[in-house]
Amino acid sequence: VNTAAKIVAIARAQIVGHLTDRVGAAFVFLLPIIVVSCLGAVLDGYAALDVGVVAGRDPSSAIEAALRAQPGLRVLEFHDRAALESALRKQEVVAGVVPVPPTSAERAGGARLLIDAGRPYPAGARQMVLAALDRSSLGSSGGSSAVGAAVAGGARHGTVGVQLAAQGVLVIFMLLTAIGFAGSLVTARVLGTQRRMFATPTPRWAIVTGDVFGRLVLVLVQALVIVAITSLGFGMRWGRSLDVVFGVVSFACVCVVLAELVGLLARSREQVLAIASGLAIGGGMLGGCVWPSNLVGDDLRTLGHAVPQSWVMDLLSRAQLGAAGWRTVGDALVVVAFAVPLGVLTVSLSRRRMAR
Amino acid sequence: VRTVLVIAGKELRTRVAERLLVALVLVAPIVFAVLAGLAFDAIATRLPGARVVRLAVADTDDGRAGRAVAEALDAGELRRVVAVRHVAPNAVRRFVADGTVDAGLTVPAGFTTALAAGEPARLRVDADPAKPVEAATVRALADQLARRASQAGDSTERITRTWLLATFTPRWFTDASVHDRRARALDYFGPSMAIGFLFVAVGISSRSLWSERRLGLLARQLASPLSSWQVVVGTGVGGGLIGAASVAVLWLTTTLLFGARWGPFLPVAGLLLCMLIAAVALMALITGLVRSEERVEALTGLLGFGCALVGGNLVQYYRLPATIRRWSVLTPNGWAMRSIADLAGAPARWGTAGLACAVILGFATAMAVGARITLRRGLLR
Repeated sequence: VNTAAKIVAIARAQIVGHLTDRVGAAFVFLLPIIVVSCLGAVLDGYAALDVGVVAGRDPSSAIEAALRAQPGLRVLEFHDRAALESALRKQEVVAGVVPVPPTSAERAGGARLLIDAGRPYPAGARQMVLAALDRSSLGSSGGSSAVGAAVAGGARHGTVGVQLAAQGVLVIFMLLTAIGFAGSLVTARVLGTQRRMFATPTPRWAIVTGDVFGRLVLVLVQALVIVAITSLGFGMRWGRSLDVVFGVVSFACVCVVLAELVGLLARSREQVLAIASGLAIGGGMLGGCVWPSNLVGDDLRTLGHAVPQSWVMDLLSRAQLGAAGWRTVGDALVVVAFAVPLGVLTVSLSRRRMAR
Repeated sequence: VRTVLVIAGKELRTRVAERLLVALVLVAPIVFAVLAGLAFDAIATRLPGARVVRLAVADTDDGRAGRAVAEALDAGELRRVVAVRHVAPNAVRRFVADGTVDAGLTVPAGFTTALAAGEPARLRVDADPAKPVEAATVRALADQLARRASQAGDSTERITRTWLLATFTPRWFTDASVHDRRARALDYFGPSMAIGFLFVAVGISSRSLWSERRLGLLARQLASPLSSWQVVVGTGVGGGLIGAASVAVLWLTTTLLFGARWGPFLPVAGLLLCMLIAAVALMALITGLVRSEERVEALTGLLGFGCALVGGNLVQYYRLPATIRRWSVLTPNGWAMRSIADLAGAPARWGTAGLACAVILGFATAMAVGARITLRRGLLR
């Protein structure tokens, strides 16, 4: 049996071992899709602002009707002002409207907009509430809307939430899977399986290459499944295929090299678990996978570029906007550059540790 | 009980030897708290509806009304709503499409003439479908401006920037605030991350039971005059103590560095203690259900992520869609996070925390019963 066949056999054993386990396969393929769909649904909720209104007070019915007719608002009804204030503090609503009964000065009555000054001022909500009430019987003019609106259609497809969630989930789960499976390296070392393999007439580099290759295929298959299902099932627009391939393959390289390093350094599977969670989620927070990097401050965004997640997220975002081009290659090279020192360290450590 | 504590102590010593204790108790809580603290406040000011909308404005009307509309958007109250960038008419859609601005507003040619003729005034809004709140805000603005301009009828000379802006501060509409303390996202996500740490710490200890079984250590322990529950509970308590220590560090870090307030101490501490018990019971159940270490890891990840997602650990509970909120009652996380959110709304009402604690302990009891059955058939066989 030649060395190439041995490498393929080792990789195949690795892949089959992980994929034939139903619970493991569910973690690798099903969980990311569930996370994308749930986060997508949650983020779609941000497509409108929740506004509360105190019902049952004159002129509440007119106000409530006007608010419900206003695009961009979702109206929740509360039985009194105290309940509305509580909802504001709990962030159930971003603003509240309290109808003010008619007086001799204001025969049609009025309205009071309640906000939580402790939170960012919801200027958009105020504007939409005012526009709605201006159109209702409270406003001085009444009448129908006179605005002709058009959108720059075709910029993006699918639901907004999935567009925001899918890239971050892909990057987090690729790393989580790669490092999580590095636990098998620790088990192989503890049980002596690795030493037995080294005793066979198989070059040491072939054993390591087979292991790395198997892990790389696993991570790439996972990425392919996530991209395919989110594209076909949820209307996610990833952008030009070539750009996405560059991003996914370059990050997969970092993931597998990091996994080998963790597998070498960890003394137990418990350590692997803790490191996997920390690197995937902590690195994801820093790299803009947990929240869009354009929403955080400049300092944190700059600091985020110390981790490869940030570069691959930049690449995927540009690909989604159709603005990637040659910058894709540059971003992908930066991502791969993270793998180089890690790879050198892994090789040097593996020579010492595996020899023991 | 003493035996349980001895086993818990052994678990702690193992984690110290693996250098995991320092990582879980000191490094991870501080790093996560600092990252979240730095990010959340910036994010809160940039979320849809909270930040100023970047608006490209083009005036193709050659009249007084069109000019007044374009000027009004960049003045007075509206500066808190939109940041205007005056551009050439053909640049509006391009800027919206490439994300330079959030939306565009064009005053069409003949706007003033149409008003003078008593025809409906129309303003054109271009918006990115991926930014629905920004689009709705600009449409609301345009709606009001157009309606206000229409009120002038054929007297278009009345239409000035000041006259248009009067519509945004009507005397029948007043603003009020519910409280003044600056709320922080960490008030909610602090306890949320704490629950995550509890699950990770307890999960790591629980799966070590399978390692001990593989190495024959578990069989040796069970051969001694120890009951099986003492081994399982002792290991869980060890993980629980690590989790509790990481929660304490997280609580202190978020409070001292970022001024977060997790809520009234006793109810929040009670909720976290109940969640710790539930985490130990859940992990014991998982350890009993599976037949290998790999499966413990995968099932822990599946259930941990699932409960966190549905229970409001990743997104504020009351921002979850109604369907997911209905499902959240099936998870201990859902009860805990709902209670944490409710305590922020009405801190005096401790009843909600009491009910949540009771339900979470009910979950824990049910899972502990399940664990007792499954552990005998699997791990402890």
